[in-house]
Amino acid sequence: MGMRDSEALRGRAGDEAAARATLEAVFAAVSGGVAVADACHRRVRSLEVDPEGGAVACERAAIDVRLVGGAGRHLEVRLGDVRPSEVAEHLAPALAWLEQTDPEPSFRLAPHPDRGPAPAAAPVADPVDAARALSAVLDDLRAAVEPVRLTARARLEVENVVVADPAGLWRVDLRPRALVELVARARRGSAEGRFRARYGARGGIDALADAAGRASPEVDARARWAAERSVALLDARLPTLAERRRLTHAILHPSALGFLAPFAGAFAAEALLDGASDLFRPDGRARARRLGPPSVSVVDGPLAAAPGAWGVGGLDDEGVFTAPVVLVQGGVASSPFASRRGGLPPSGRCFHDADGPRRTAGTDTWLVPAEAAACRETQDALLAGVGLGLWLEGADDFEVVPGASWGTAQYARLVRDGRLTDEVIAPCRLLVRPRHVLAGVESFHGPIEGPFPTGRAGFGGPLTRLRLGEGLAPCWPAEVPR
Amino acid sequence: MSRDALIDEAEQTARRVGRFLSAIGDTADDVEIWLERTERRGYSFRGARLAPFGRAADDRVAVRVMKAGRLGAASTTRLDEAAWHRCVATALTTATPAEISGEFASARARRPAPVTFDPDLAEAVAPAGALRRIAHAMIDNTLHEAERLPGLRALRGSLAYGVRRRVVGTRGGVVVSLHGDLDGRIELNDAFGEAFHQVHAPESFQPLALLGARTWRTMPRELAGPEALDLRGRVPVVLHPRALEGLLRALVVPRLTLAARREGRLPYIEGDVIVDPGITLVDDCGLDGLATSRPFDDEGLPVRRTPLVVRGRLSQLLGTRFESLHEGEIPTASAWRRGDAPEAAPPRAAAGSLLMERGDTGFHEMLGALDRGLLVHRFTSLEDTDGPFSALVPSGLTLERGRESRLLAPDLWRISGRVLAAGDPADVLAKVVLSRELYDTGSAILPYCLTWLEVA
Repeated sequence: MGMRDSEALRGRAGDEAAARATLEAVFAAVSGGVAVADACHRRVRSLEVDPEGGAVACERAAIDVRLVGGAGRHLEVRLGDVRPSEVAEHLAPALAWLEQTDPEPSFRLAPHPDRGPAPAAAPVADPVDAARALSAVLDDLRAAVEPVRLTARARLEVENVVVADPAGLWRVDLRPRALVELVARARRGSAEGRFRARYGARGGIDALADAAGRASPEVDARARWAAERSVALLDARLPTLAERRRLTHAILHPSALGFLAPFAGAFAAEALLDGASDLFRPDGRARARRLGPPSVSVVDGPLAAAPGAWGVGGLDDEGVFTAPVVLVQGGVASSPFASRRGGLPPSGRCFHDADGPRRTAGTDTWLVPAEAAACRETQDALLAGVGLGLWLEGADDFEVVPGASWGTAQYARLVRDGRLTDEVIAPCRLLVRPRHVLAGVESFHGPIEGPFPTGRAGFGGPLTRLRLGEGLAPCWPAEVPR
Repeated sequence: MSRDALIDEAEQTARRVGRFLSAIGDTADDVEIWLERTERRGYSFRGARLAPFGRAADDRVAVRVMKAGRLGAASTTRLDEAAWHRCVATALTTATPAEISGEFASARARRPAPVTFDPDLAEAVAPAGALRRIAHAMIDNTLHEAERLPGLRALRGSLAYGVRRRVVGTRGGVVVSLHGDLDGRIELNDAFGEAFHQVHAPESFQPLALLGARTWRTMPRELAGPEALDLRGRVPVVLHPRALEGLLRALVVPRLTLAARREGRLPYIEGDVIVDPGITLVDDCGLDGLATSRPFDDEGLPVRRTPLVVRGRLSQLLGTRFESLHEGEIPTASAWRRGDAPEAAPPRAAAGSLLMERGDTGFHEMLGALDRGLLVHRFTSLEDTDGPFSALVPSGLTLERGRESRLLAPDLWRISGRVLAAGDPADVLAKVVLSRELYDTGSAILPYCLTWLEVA
């Protein structure tokens, strides 16, 4: 944390006191009516600067209350930013509703693994105080990449989370995050090349700007990368049909490993509890499914070899510490995410959802080489033997459909006879089948890079060589987007 | 909460907003406050297991202030005057020079207001256990039908009822509206689904209770990928009104805005032919019974009927009030705050309730004329783009010899085309056939649309 972040968050002490009063009102309101309850109070202060230069300062809060009644009846209800005096009025219908839900005798809530006090969170500056610095950073970036037109959206936020239960659990977590999204547009005549890059880090304005108020090296590098790629895309072409048929490999830049986010979704506790997981039994034991070669592992959470962090660290919304979870070990599905619901030892991955109850989700998901023999010393060694392949960058927004996910690789170049060419290929859609994608992984090169933010989670890994096929397939629209 | 209690609460909130606006004094030159309270409860289900979910007192408040030519914005989730005053102070701190200085609108509502809340529906689902009984009926009927017609591997769905109160206040007035809707969805074998959306109380909940059973009975069983039919290149595609609405909202309407014209994304002027002459498209938030209808927009202007396209020609563009003032146009009352955090999003121009004039070909006549083609129910991954778009088809049917034949394998079909590209043969709306039948999607009233799309 830098100078500006060492200032105490305005009103933080008041936030915790207000949360305590509201949560005590929640537990008083449900006392005697339920067997178990816990609650998560969240207050987020944020500042968003949009591409047109306007700034919106937001403060929002909500409480997720979990009620467990007799015969395993359970209900998770969200209350808005209510005052303690209003809590009973809004919880009364929920208690009546709980009695109307179906009994579920098998429902279990695992004991909280560690009820001791959590370490005090470091103080963080109020995002609103950084309004001018943030605008100046974005102006700097726009000037740095001219004549490429850069639109930038930035967001600073501090999420103050309190998780408590009537038995005395009291966990506080402070989650500062900084995100900038950059869209570079290069024009030549009527042609346009467009490339989007994001940079996100846990922290305040210091994660985006240096002490002099200039963009940090990481943000500056992402802006220049986006600008360069947008210019290169002006000369992009579609691959010929003959080339498409001959493509055998993809070389995935770390920014193109976005499929890891939907991949981690297959490890969610909810699928396992519904009996819909083909990777794990409902009791959490792995079915020993091989997903890839022994050279590949997938890890979610803090990684010593990773250069940064974006997804939530510290505590989850059940107040459980977020330790690393090895999803795939040596190519075999290893551990699922688990929440207290279902009775499994929780893994600290339970987070609030936009609409429904708290659900398990990944944080930063990393593709990690599991065997030194699969790591190539040079890029040439990684590309050796590839007759015709695609070098892909910038594929981060994957959309999940049943059994697969779709994303767009914004930038591609051809690899011919083991050499990376200057032939820029038009953006392509990528069909990824999470169940099969790791099977195509052959080798790696370079350090682990990332995380590249996607929503609340992130992803990263080394440069990865992957065989095209059932797990990963590219396709193109009928013409080059301009 | 009863209808009277809801109305009483909304009016009390409006009075609080009025008092707050009066108390601002000369702290700011002008102030606008937007407020939304949502309550929603329901069930999601997977197989026979119901999982309840609910929200109460979910409040969103957005404040905009104008001071000495600067515009500032801030938001909170607290229904509390002290929090609103803090928003004003924060918004003044972060204000930036405004393109248009002046005042916010005098908040007014359209008269007569569209029906957006039906007390009979609220009362029908209010008794404890009412929603649960309907959800169980949806599941039981589907599973019963699946005993008769085996093959059901996965059943998912949801049923929810929600109420929203919306208030917009400026120094010129305060307006309030009440909205309620029932939403039911069912998805079978992760490949085919159906939805039910009501603002008005239905005469009976039986159609909803039988939604899954009827869908399972009529749903083809065989899945087909593009190879199975050898369907490649440009093929005839019938767009279900839901798919047509998705296309219009994602790709067409965002370009029929003043902002798009200013950014150079709309190379046409009013009167230009931009789509098939059979198409007349209107944005009309005054239509009764649609979830997107409302008596005033998110800047407090009374909504009006805006013809976007008349007989294929560009007619009018949507804009927020400030955009319209900037361009010297009459405001279309089309400002929306949308997204996961609508209070944090600035108002943007968008369509509310869409209405397309019907054509003169019967739906079955349309299908009967096709030897081979697709009936697309839904698109995903539609991105707002000025160039060619591509999208995934997660739900749809193949058409063979004039009949619905097989299910589209959900992750294999991808289509592409262009919109608003006059003269380009790939333009999806350049040549279409519209059905006589109109369909209520819950947020639009549209016909089936036969067009030609590239299948990859």
